[in-house]
Amino acid sequence: MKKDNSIDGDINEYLSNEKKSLNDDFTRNVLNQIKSIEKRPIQGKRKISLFPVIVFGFASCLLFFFIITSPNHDLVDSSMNKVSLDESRVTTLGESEQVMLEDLMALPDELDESSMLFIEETYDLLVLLDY
Amino acid sequence: MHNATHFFFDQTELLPMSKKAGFKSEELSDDHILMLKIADGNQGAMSDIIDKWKNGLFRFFDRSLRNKADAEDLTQRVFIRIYQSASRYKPKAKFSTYLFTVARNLLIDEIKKRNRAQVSSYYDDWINFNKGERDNGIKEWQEILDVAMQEMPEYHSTAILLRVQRELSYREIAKIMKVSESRVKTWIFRARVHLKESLEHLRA
Repeated sequence: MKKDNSIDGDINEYLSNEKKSLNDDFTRNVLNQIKSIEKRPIQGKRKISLFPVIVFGFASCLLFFFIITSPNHDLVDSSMNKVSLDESRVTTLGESEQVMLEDLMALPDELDESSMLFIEETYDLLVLLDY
Repeated sequence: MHNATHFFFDQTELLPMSKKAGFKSEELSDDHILMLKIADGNQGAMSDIIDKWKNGLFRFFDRSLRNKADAEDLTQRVFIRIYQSASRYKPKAKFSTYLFTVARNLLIDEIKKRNRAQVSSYYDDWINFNKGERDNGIKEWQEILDVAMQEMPEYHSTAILLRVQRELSYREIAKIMKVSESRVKTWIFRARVHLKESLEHLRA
């Protein structure tokens, strides 16, 4: 029992570690460290605010580079040209349609619509049918 | 050097600070008040907190890491972290609970760093020490206990150190270590058994 008590006492003495302590310089050092850290945050903040801009710029460059070097780039380019050509055709067709409509409007009212629309083959067919 | 527990705080000065923190000034302990003052930019309060707690923290780290320089470094880092988070500090629990939660987080980080760096084990140092570099001031049983602490998982040593050094309640230790009280009791029991067995082996 006595032995057990002395063991417990030694363990408690060891764990308490009361003989060790820090000197007064420690407090001064920590305060100096804090002061030096306080001066730094402005730079830190700048870094943080610039970081997303740099990342976004880099990502944009990468994307642009990828598009330029991509094998589908020519296909994309030619399809774009095709679309623009079609667009120009649509506009010219639009003009011709307008002219045709104006011509149609200029036709006399008494003109028979059916006779105007019949083509030569239609007449041959009507003859064959004794129309 | 004065002790922070005997400070006299001017109530008129405290009122706006405690209101800002959302607590009644009479509910706050001396440490809580010092923290509010630190948040207000008071360097003197920071100095008082350091003077009051530095040895407690240093002894805790020294026994956990068995290295004076590392213990001093970690103690310093605890105070820097406390200073940096003073503006967000809420006096919800006892200050010691908050302080040793910060201390334990740093200790775990340090142990992880050590494991990654594969630092030579303390056990090897101890063997070398016994080969002829023995300092007469250090008792053999203390060296045995150092090795026994090294063999223990961190949560066993932290639990027993908080209990013996700081005399914290099981509840407080459980709060710091974020586990149940019964688990804390088991860890402390196992740690003590391990330390006892090491000494008994020596004295047999």
